[in-house]
Amino acid sequence: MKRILISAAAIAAMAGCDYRGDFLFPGENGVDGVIDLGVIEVGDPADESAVVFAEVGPADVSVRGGATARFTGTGGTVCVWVDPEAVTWNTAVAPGGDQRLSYPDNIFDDGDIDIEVGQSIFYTGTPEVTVGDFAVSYQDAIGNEVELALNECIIYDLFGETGGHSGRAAPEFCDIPNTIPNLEYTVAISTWNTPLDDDVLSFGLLIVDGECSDLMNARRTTDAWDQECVITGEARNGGVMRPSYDYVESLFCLAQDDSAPEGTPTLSEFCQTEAETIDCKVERCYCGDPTDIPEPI
Amino acid sequence: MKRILLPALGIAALTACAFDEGLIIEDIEGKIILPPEALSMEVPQDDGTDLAVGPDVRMIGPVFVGLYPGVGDSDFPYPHPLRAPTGDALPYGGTTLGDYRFGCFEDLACKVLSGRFTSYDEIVEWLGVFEEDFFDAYGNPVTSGDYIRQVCFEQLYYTSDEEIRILPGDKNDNGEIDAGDLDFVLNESTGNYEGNFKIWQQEFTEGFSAWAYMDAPDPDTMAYRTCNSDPQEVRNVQDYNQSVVGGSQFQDVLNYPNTYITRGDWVGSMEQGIHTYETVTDDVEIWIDFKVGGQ
Repeated sequence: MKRILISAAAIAAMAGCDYRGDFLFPGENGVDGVIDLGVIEVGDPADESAVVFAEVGPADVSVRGGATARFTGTGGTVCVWVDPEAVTWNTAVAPGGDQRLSYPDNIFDDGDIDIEVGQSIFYTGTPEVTVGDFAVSYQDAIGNEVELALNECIIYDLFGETGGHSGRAAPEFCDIPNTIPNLEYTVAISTWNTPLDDDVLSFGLLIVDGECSDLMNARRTTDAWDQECVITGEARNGGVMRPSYDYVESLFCLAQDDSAPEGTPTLSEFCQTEAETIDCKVERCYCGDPTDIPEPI
Repeated sequence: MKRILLPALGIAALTACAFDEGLIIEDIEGKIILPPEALSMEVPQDDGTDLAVGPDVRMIGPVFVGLYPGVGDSDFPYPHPLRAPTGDALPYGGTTLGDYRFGCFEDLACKVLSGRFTSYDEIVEWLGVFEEDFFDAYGNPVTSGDYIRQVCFEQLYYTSDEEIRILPGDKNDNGEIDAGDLDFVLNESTGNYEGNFKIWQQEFTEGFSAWAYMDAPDPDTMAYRTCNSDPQEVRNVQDYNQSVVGGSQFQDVLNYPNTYITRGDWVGSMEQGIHTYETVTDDVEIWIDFKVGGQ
């Protein structure tokens, strides 16, 4: 009996060796961990083509990964909006009473990215090398060092405190009020976590004139849950949109403003069909496992 | 062996008690002095006249005491802590004398402070001076201190005045709650009003300066600029058709005093309103003796 057990364990151990986690390491998937998107012109909120799409991989050990972009101050408010892949309504994060949050979701394709924005002169990172922040050392009147946070991207958390960030796959945005004309600003986009399925995080970035509420109005996304629909199609691979991800997102967004063409399945129907035709434990499910959803409260 | 080990462990444990972490964390105490003029005000009346009120301790708004790198008078037309380029005064610490309290009625939001009233009747009387009527959830004017007390007990599910925390305790141990128990007490020999502050567990830095300001009530509304009454951020009780918010000071009253200081408020002057610390045991007396916007 012992012999059989040991042999079985050895075979199992050898079979385990065919799993390669190389793609989880920097440089293995051909996508840089720190990228620079250059100077981006401040766009019009109504311009659908103003979105810049990019992908980042895992960063080297001890280096903060992510991306940087720069824009020139307009003299008014500028909205910076970033949306990491893929969609936010995953039940793993927010089971609750809202039906729109109770769709199943494949959590392995979600990443998280955080933004800070400030005047470029205060930026501590180096584009394409490391992502920094806007924390500057200041000596007060009696000679003590104090760290000044010059990040102008103020995001409030659930408790009304500043310094908040959106969660996994959720869009993150802020207004930069009173930008100084012709002064260069840097958007520091830090990779919080890359998706577990391929370790490459794709995202969309919008830098537009005016307040983010104007942008949401221009995109008919006034509801907080609609924020996912300001930037669509951000799930990409090698710059190419991943159609199935985009389809799931589009079904969600069509449902929000009741603009779905006749015959279009609802997101629930799509997920149900997917679950019936695909074994999510074996094949890719874009919705996730519908049997693994907590009951809405 | 055990006989040797146990005494050795005992000695080691005793030695550990002598470990000095090198932290200079102390309770810092001091005195705030207000001249009687700071407790007086011309209150506009409905008939167009002004009524001279005070000096009265109830006129003292929340007093904010901060420890700052320095204080100057070049940024504003009144003394103000020195600011970093971001506008932040970068306080090392601070405290308050008089905190916003849950008023138990919608109309009392941001109008009730601790350490200012010796009875609930005084609240009714004081608002009457400002011709500020206030009503209960059924639209009836509140005219009795006992009714305030009763509503507070109902709304907060409390059973004692100590829990409501509007009235002070018997701080001077004379067996009753009187003027001697309030945050500021009249010094009979000088005519000034004095209050003691204590900043708990402050990391001491030689050279920082204590400075304070007082947010005076708006004579028209009896409200304070430093009070945040956003129901999303402060205690909020729904009672029948009333949304009763408690009110609380904004988080950055010490970081950005200039945001809150307006005409009629009082701040520490450059002459008597600043104490620069040399040691943690300094005998500290700072005045709030400069009226913003003149007399």
